[in-house]
Amino acid sequence: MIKALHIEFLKIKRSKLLILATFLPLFAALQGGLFAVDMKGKEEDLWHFVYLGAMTQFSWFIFPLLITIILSIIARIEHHHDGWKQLFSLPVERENVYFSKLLIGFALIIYSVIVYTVGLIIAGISVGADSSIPYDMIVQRPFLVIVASLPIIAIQFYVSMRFSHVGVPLMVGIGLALPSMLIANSAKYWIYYPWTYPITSALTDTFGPLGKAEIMYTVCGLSFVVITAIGLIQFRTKDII
Amino acid sequence: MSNYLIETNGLIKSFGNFKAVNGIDLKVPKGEIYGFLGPNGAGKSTTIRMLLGLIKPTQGMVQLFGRPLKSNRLDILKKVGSMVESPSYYGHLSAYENLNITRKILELPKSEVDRVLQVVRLTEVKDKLVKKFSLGMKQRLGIAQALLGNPELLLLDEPTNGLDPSGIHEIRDLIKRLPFETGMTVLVSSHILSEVELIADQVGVIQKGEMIFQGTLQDLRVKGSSTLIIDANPMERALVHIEQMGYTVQVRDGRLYIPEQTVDPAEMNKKLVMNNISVRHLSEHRDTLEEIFLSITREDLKR
Amino acid sequence: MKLVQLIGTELSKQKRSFLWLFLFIIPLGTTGAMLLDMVIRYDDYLFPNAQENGISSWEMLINENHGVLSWGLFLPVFVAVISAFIHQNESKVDNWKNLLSLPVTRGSVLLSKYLIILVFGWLLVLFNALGLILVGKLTGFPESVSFELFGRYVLFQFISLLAIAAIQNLLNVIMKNPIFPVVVAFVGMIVSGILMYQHQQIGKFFPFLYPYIAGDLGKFGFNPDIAISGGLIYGAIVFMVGLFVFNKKDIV
Repeated sequence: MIKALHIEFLKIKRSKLLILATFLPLFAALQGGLFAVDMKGKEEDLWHFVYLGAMTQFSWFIFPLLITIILSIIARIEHHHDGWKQLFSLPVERENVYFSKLLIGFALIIYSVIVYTVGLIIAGISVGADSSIPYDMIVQRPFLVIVASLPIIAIQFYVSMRFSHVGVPLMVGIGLALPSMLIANSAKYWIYYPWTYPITSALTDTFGPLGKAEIMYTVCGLSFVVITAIGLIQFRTKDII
Repeated sequence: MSNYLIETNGLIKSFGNFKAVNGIDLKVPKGEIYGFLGPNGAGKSTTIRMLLGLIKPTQGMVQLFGRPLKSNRLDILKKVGSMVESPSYYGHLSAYENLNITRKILELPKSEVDRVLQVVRLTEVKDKLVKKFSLGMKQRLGIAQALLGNPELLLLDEPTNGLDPSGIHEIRDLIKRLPFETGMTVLVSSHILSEVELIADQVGVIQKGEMIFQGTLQDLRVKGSSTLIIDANPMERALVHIEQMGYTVQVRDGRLYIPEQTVDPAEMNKKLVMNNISVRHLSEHRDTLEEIFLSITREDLKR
Repeated sequence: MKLVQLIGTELSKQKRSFLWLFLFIIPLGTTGAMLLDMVIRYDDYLFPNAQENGISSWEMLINENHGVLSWGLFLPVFVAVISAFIHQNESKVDNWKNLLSLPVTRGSVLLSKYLIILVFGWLLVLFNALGLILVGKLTGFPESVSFELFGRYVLFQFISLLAIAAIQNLLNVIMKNPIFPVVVAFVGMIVSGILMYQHQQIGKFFPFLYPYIAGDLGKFGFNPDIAISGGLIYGAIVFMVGLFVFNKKDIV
């Protein structure tokens, strides 16, 4: 498994994945900073506005689309030029390949969230928010968003691995992200639409899980396990033509 | 244990209603070069993919090294090098990096990469990105990748695709050397007989998913017919005489053709001359392997 | 080969493609989302609010679709995906060399790709608008449908896409990996989000914002005419640049 992971790392070299995972979240942080600048003088708690300005966009589409793009690039490395064929002609366990790709995806996703939190802190300091950084909001919350995004990660990973045409995961990821903010506005229906989970978990003041937090995180965990398992079963028995 | 390094029994693969491979019994002896022949779309690649476990057979068994592939896939694949159809590669990585990935999977020393680069003569361009390679270079990289770690069994699917004549020659020499130098068993597939003819000991010919011939090249030659061609004077008497001997004769372009394998040309000559017939020309025409190959694959098409 | 035939071949390349699915699913999703929106909020909030602001239910619906659902913001990314689909066929199996070995001018190849991206983008816009009309009917808006309003809404978006389609077409010619042009459109969308709140003056010159501006019925106070002139100007200039690049490009 360690070997498989190491090999996956070798493959993403020069794939520009790291650049994307670095710059895309910084856009969100920038947005937070700009939002807070507008509020300067009018409001006391600038950290709150840095967070709000950044998180609205981040949880709604930047993060889901970042997930979409990272996972589709990781899968495309094999789909392109028939990599699967050669890989599976070698003595490797298919499940190791599957999990190492998923883990690399996770590593990049977590990395991008770290960049994001660092960006938030820099944005907050540069707009002159007060010196005590509210770590629970600025650092803890973004990581909670990762947990809330587990269903999205699982679905995007499944679709990316399953379809050799890159358009398909992109289509799914972008298409499903579109209505999420609107649906998050509905107190009744949001729970049925996992693309709202990052929004609800991030913007607790506006939306908040409204007592459904436990259900939400259970759905996150369960759906992740189920979808990943289905994907793995298909992946193990798939004919490489 | 049998002497066959690859052995399949009644191998079938269907895609929906279509049987791409229909009951193949492949038998590849150890230490030999096996030519796997058949026209495009006959099921060669599907068979080879089943040998590697890339495709699961609908029915039938694959045994490699005397053990079923199904339950020993990883152990078996450690001893197999392969290149299936067009070579696979990561275009954004260099040749060296591509080989290094395979090397790590196989847990081989670093020197292996340099060795195989040397073998296929890519050492000078090892740091170039593979997407910038020519077709022939990619093909050679694919073969290098298959040779990593000196596998006991090498499966090459159409290895000379896209190579220039000197490249084809080079690869052919390389394949020929392998069993001799390393005891490697090699299976090479091709749709052109002449490519395999010069290197293979054994051949298997498949057509529409079925094996229509398997054996040595000698056995294949025997399947071809020979024709005796005679030009004699006077023609009419010669014709009568030969027919009296019990052969069927065809007359074409003022010559007699005896499409029979058992005729001894010397005997025939003697008999005609003794009957006062002058023989101006007597020759035996044997089908070339290419003709045999074409005729058996064609015969099968008619079925 | 005539341009019309080229476009025909482009269309036939998309046979059995997921693109058609995309073309129907996305508007289906927007229609569903808007219907949900109307079911939940129309009677209690959206209708009285529209009355207060002196706009019709239909205008309100377009505002919801364009601004709240953010159709206008996402549209460039959708077009980017369409463009990636259209170009994938060429780059995946290195078909460029095949296509360009036929007796066609490069200009007409590029133009046919451009037009086909546009047509698919337009269909997407059209289906979205038809979905809105359906939502209004199902909700039972008291006003009758204003075809002038919808005609304008659709037409302005059409023209704004002239710029987006030209940009994506160019990016797909330059970049080998079809994901990256989509990433560019995605970044364009993020930047649009920033510009539309904070820097409207710069926003006027930012093509990825045009589809949004095209449907802005006053919420952020852009003049939709910007989308017309911007779409035409960017469309023409970027297409010319694309022509120049494409003509110089070596097909390897």
